[in-house]
Amino acid sequence: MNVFKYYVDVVTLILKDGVLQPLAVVWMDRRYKVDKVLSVRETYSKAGGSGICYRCLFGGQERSLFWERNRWFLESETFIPELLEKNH
Amino acid sequence: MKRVIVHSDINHCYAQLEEMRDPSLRNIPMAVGGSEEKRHGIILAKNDLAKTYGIKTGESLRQAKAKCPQLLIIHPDYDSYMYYTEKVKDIYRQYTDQVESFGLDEAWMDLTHSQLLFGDGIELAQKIQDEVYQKLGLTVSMGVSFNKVFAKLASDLFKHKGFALITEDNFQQMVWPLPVEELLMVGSRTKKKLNEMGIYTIGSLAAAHPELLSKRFGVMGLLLKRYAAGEDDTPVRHKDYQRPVKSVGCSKTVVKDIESIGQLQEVFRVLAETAAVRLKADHYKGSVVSIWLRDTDLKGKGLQMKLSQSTDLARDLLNAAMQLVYKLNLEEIKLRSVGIHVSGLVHKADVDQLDLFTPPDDRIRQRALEKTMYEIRKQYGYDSCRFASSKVDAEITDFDPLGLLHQVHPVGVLDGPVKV
Repeated sequence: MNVFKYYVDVVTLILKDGVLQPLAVVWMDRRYKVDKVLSVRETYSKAGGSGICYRCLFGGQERSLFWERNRWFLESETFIPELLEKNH
Repeated sequence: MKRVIVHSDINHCYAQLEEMRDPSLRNIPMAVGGSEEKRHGIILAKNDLAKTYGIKTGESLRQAKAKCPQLLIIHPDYDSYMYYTEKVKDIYRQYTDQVESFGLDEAWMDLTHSQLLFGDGIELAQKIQDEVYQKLGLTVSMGVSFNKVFAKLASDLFKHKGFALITEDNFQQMVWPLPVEELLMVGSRTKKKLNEMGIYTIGSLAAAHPELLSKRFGVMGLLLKRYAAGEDDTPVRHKDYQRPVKSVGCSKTVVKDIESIGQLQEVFRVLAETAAVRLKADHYKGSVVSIWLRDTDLKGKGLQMKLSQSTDLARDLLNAAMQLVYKLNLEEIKLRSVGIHVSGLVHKADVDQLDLFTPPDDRIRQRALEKTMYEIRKQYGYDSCRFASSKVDAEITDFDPLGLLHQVHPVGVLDGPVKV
């Protein structure tokens, strides 16, 4: 299965020890609450790029949210060409 | 304890980093190269598909495009390459404090003593190799041996997450049959000379008569023999080690050809100012100035001179450079890149040797002038303070190696303590 990456706005809580905690992701003008962070580890994305991967639960859905250097991207199997173009 | 030295190499580094960031690049011939418009257009790294077209690192973009018209050229993003290669070395530094960089993409590490904490060194090296792939999606090839020279050689044996082990028991079978140019420090010139002496393999270099080698290469010959025989015992440097500065240089490939002495002088002025700033920043003075000129056919010419006293003044460097230019007696000027290089460095406070003919405060005043110019530029950008002569051909001097060109720091932004 092809995977794509989309840079997204993320409401993030920065804890006092520097740890990042994503609270909500803004995707096509809608806000999706992160219900739970299931795991955190450094790895690369099949869609390209590497960083700290937060496996998150949105409603019943699991998605990988990557902290790459200084911004967030979301891995998704949905292909949205317009969004991909904006990525660069 | 037996030494466990690892050399790791990020395979075709820049190209692989681009592929990591955008995996679709793996399916097309792609190379990272400088920009043709700014005229430093050479291939810096290529991916596997580009390699099948016979594209070579170091050749011009034009040559590469001739071999493979659909070749995608990506401009280098050094900031990002530095970030990711440091990330790779951060992984190494978790396991040992002896990590010595050899360029951005290569490093040695000494795992000898790490074995007490993490277990067998060879397994640990494999684990580190996996960890780099798992965390960053990058493949590094690794060579493990009992010295740095063989470790480096081993890492070159197999690309793509290759892993090779050269031990004290097997190096005669593994290393000695290899061509002599595979050895560290044997470049194309040394190779040619060694071949003339009938030495084609590393084994025959190890067996060569020391006197013959020292006659031909001096101490270097003996060093090479030691390397070939596996007797290299140089330590892997501590991660915080910084090589002492031996020289300061600055060079530039200009946007258009330099065609007159006047243009050359203005380019040298910028280079001399930069070299002087670097000298002053580290409290060095240099006594040998050399210049390097490369014409449009990419042929190079160079010359050097010793100054009557060590200096850190841009004025002296520029004067020396121009004297050398006149000495070269160029028939026709058509230059593409030029450089200035200061060596014979000494650590000296701001004291100057007086001489009979110049006013005693001459150098003090000049230093104050240069310092002031630098400070103005640092605060208000490079263009805020320039020689009028640089405006005769503003295009050719429109560069600033110190990166102050667009820097504007209004006074007072970070003046005084930061209040929270």
